[in-house]
Amino acid sequence: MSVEPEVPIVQVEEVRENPVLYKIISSDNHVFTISEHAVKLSKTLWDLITNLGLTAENALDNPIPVENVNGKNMETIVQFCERHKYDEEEPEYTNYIREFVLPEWDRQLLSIDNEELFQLILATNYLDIQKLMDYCCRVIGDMAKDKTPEELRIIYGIPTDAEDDALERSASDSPGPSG
Amino acid sequence: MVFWTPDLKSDIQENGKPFKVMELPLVALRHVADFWDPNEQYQLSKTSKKSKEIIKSIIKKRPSQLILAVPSRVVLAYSATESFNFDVPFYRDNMLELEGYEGVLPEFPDDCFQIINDLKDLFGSVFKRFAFFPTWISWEGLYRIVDLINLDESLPIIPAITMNTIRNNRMFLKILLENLEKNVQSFTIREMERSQKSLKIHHNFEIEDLYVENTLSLDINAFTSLKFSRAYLYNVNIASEEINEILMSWKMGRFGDKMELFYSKDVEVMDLRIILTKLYTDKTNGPNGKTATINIYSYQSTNENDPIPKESIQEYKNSRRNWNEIVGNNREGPHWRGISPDLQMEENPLKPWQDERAAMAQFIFLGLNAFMGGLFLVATLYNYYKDEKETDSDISCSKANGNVVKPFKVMELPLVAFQQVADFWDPNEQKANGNVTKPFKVMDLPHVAFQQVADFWDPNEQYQLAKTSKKSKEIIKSVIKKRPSDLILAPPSKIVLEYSDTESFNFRVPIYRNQFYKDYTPGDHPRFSLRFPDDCFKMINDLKELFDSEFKRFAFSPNYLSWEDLYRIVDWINRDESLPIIPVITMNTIKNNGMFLKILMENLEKNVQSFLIWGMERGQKNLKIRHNSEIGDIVVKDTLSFDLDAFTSLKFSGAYLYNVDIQSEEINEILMSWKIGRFGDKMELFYAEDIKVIDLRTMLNGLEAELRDPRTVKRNTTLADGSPGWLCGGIDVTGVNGMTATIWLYSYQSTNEDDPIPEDIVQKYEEAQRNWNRIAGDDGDPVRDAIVVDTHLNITFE
Repeated sequence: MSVEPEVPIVQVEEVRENPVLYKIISSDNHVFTISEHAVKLSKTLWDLITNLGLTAENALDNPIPVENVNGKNMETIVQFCERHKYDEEEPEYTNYIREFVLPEWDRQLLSIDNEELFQLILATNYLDIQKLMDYCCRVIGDMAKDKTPEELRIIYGIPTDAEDDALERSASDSPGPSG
Repeated sequence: MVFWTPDLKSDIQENGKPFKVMELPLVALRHVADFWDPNEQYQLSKTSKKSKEIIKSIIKKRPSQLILAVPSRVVLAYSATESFNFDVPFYRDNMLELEGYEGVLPEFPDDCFQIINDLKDLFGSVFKRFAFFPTWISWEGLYRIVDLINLDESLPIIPAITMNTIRNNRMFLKILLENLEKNVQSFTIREMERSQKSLKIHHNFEIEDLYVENTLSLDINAFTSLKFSRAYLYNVNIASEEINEILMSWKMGRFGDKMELFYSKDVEVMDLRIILTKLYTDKTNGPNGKTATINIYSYQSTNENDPIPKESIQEYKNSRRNWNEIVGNNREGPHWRGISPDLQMEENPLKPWQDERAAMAQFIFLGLNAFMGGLFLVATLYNYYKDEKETDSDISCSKANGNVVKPFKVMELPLVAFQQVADFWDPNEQKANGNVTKPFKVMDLPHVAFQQVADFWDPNEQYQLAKTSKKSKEIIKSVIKKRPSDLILAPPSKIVLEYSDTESFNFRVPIYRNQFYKDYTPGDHPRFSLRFPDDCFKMINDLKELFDSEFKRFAFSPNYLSWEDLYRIVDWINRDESLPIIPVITMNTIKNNGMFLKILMENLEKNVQSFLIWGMERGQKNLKIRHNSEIGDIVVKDTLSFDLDAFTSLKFSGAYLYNVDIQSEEINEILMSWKIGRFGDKMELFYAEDIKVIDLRTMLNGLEAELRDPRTVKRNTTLADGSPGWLCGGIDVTGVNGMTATIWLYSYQSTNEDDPIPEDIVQKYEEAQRNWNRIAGDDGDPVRDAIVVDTHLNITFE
């Protein structure tokens, strides 16, 4: 069951209010523009920008290629970063079980197909965006609420022991790279 | 009881007005009554008192007997071939059902007896027999029935009891026999099989004839702890060693004084040497001077003066000559001798037992593979409704006819069922129904991402995930942040993982209901599947492993745990090697449920460090507990009427009573019990808080207590705050084993041995010493000093 997210389109004005903009090219050659405050949410991108020595003057002339993230995920990521660029930094959590309120806007943004969500997490992990990672993980964690092991097996696609064993056997039976 | 709806009522009165049968002339009514069977007669008699009288007057009386097939049937038997069954109605406790437990039925034994009395009255029947089926009645139900049997004044002696297989269910026999207070004329046990544990039975009533039938491995422990006059074994596989054990038991005085006969049919081979081991005379004498005579090498005649056949005399002479070889040790091989006694048991005129058993058993096979069949049906229904939906014309047609078919909301099915329904769909149908089979493969996430997801799972979710596969378990285990935690088992359905007083998580033990029992038996037995205690302990072991927790406590709630389940849990505890000692047991109020404590303690084989009982209330009956395990500290709290009998039959090192209404008479009884050697050797401390008034004269009555001088008698002790110190003075009572109980009254506690004794303490002591006979003895009027107003009482034993 998939629900089409009603994600507000990022307003150009919102992006333009910051004079420093960067260009990012996704693996499928889509180009995105992202503000400096927003891009700082991604540790990977910001490190890259710093290391490349990109400045306000040359930023738009030097698009940053991100080969591990496709255009669809990059769009979500840019929307998320622009939305949360002025958020205050959250204190490190100390509880053993994490709990926080997931804002409705973000819940809508993350109401996507499981496969897309999986790819989004991989992209978020690669780009090292802690807040988006927290939100994605919260959505995935919530899937386990009040579920039985059998339900969890379906939700999380967990193979049974027999399937695991069969997989292991077939892996050990298959010829290696040499043979 | 039938509740008629108005429709049903109008159906029944189809022809308009009722037929007023009771207004028929007597002759006509008699003719009508000839067409009613006893069940119909009984139902009619219940309509009103007048009907009952009329029915009673027209019933053709003939000899009949009543059998109560506990719990749900009363049999009215006219002969071996003509009998009628009356079902006992039963009720379920909806409140308990809501709590997730099978209902308990407080009315049911009363209903059994009500029906019996009604039938006795109506048909002039005589009560003949209780037929117990251990599989069909809970131990609580049995206990309540036994209680009613004891209370029933119309039944001074029980004519017959029959009981089906008691394999692995000897607690049933124990509960029955230890609580029954009436003598039994005939007691038949089918399949009295030995099980894993030996259970001794201490019963006070007497059995005249004990019949044991169809047994492969006789439970000799249970058998030798029964008291009977005659025992008859039919088709019981009994070995010579066991016959020897029976004779030895008799020789030691078991079976009671009235034992007259032991008879065993179908014994294939007997080895006299084994049978007579350690008995080694032709007449075996018991300690009471009685003689047991074995009917081998003997001759039975009708008259005293009948001549003895020559063969018998010859046989005797041969045996006499070889006697040492037969029973002694001076030959190499054993001497085998086969016998086949010809004593026949009198045939029971009523043989409905087999029929009852068959009737009970006929319900056993129910609904195999019903779940998968149901799913297939759901899938078919779904397809059917889908087709219906697609055919607009059909819908409009059915709407026009007013037959709107409600859609089957397949999307609202539980996920697992939905997934299985989806398996019946073709790929196109699956696609049409959206994201049915696309899981989020959480285990394939990079470790860092997975760790972050895991941070959002509470222990319950982590545990559920760990159960999906071995691999998941290992992965989950690796991401759980370990910290000290304790596990509490609150059987039957809850395990608590406790990190601190304020942070704990409940784990529900899955409950499997046995639909057959639920729908059929009037009781709570068994509430859960046979796997249930295993599930509890498996869950504990899983949680221990997953969270590195320690097992801390069993929390028993007698109201929510059947005795059978308790027994099975105790059995599990005994067998669990990872638990050499039980850290803590807590138990909720046990008012009128002393049997719960008895079953727990008498079957527990492991020592308990701390045992806390809330509300150890006295019940209607005195129950002595004979237990072998040891309790470190027993703590009793919030008790209005202290069950002294149960308390004084426990063995413990320390007892702590908080908010327990205990009187001086009861403290006296505790001290008397200790004096005669109860509580075991390890008793060190008795402490009671919240005592308002202590009457020393009552408390010390008959104890020969002595008052000690605080200036001269000083003992090393542990003070109330746990620090080492000195107890100076006090009141001493000497026990039979030479130990001393010291009551901390008229005493002084100091940190150092040489601390000076305050003057007021010395004065109090001297005054009490002067009046000691009036305080602790019965010389003259009691003095004011005999009354102590204090908040607590401390008695140490050394």
